[in-house]
Amino acid sequence: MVKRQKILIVDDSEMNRALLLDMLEDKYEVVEAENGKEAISILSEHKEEFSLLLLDIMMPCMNGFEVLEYITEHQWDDNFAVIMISSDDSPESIKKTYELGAFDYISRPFDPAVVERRIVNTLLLYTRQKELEEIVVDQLKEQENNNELMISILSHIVEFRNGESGAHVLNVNKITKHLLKRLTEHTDQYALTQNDITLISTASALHDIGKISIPSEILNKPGKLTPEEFEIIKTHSTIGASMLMDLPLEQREEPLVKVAAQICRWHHERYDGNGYPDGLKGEEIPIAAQVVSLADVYDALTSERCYKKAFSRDEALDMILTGKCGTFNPMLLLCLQEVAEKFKDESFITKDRELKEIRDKIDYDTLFFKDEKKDNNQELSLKQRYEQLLYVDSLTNVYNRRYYDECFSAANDIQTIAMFDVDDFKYINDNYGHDVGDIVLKRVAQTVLSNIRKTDALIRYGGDEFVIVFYSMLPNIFEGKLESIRKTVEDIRFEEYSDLQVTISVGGVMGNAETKQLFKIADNMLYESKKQKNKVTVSLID
Amino acid sequence: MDLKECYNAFGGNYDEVIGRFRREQMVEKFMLKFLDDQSYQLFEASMSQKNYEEALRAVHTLKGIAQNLSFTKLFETSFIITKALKENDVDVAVQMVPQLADDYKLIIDAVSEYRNS
Repeated sequence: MVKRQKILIVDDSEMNRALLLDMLEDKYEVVEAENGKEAISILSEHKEEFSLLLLDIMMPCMNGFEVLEYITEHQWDDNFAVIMISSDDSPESIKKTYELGAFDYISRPFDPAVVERRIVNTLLLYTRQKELEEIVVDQLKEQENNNELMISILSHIVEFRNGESGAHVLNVNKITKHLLKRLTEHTDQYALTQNDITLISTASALHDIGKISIPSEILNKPGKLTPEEFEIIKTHSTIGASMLMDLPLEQREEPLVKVAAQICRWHHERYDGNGYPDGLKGEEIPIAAQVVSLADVYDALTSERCYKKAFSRDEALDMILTGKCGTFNPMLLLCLQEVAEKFKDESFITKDRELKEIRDKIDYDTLFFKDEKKDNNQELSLKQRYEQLLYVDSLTNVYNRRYYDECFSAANDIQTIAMFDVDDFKYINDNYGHDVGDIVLKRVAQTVLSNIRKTDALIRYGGDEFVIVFYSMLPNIFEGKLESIRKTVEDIRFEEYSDLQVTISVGGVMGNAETKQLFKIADNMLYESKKQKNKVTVSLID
Repeated sequence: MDLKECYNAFGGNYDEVIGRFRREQMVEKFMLKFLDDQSYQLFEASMSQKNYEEALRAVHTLKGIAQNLSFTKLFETSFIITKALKENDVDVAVQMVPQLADDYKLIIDAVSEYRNS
């Protein structure tokens, strides 16, 4: 049922009010006022409810013109239209009415039918306008959402490749926003409007877009990077920026693209000029890049990575403030400390606790710090060494059976498992010798490892049998993923044994079930693949 | 007495008012309502108190009603008085007061009779 529109009739003559009331009360809700003062009083409390005001001119206390003036002054005519009705039809009056902002003028005596029609038309027009306004606002909002969604998807794609789950982008976005807000509370020097803040936060999602061009083996290397490899990784900042600058002219002139390019290129610069790629110093670095750089560092420290475990908020702050991650703008560091209070709440920053807690047990060399001294002398603590012995297979350097049994088999939140073994492994051992067999296993493990994300776990389950536990995989790319793993193994070439070819049979399962069940199904799938060899068989269960 | 006769009795224009209101029901309704209208009384009181501003407002309102309901005779008199008071021509206004009273009484009597019939 459509709500009836509300009309206010203002006239000191009861007769006149009655006339109008009679005309209108069927279709509309009508409220009466005897004079201008009463009208204003009613409107000041209920103006949003009214669509139309029928105003007489000649009234005691406050006449029609005064009412009209008041309304226009307070901009109430955004809510409702005003129609003047009067028997005073002198040209001056009419002119004054329109000058004061009335929508229409009806002179008395009036033809009820005509007046009714004009009222209906006025209301129609006003409603249409309001509706259109709302539609425009809605559409703008939707467009904004879509934009953000696209950028989010894009950055997830980039992150997917290097094993981050997408949380990094979200976190950097949030941290950037908070830092910028706090910065504007401290200083005007960067002239940042709310729009600017939104723009920079959105653009921050693209800061690592250059990583899409970095080879997978380097990107996901669990161990320490060689200097050459580090040089390659460093190129992601310039590559990202040039990708954006390669866009067509109109697009690259867009504020979003310009800011994103700045961020991409310079989010590894440092305040003292010791960053890369251009060695910009101090305020030469655009503020957008400065902020994202700090947010990036903070999130990296407080997140699990393939080369390090997560530090606590306080540890991370301490490391940043004591300069272990490079120098930053002192003003920004102050903001970070102030804003970090908010980060204490775990729900603020999304973390993938599940498997990650287990993976804390294995520590890898810290790749992150530019401080070379720290890198070379990284000693594993006794505890870490002990755990490494326990859970890592000494030959292939991946997780071992014990790790699986202790950490996964009892879990009930695993959804995606794959199992594979080397085809004709016995044949290889018999014909090439066990040494070669070992080399094959090492190579296969290495290859598969470089094909999975750091959030996935590769486990040597037995002899030549391996299990992969995937963290959060999309059903429609699962099979493709396993296929590409199979193919890369097939493409392995051994320099010393040119005629040696290795293939694997793969079984995969994805669905909601107990790990034991999934394991069994994966095993069955592997058995299926084995019939043909060098094959992938996948089962998706509901 | 029917509505048309009533209108003729007090110098009103029946055809005109019907032309605007279309329905006799409506005209009758408001004509009867006029019995309760206080504009004339307010005018009378204001004039005797020499409150000409208030009087102007009252007679202006009366004029409007008369025009709306096609009380032609009443309208014409009210019109003159309204104009006079607007132009601060108090003498002319005062002069017309008896005429207004007559015109008003005529209507009241006729409408009352109509109501009672």
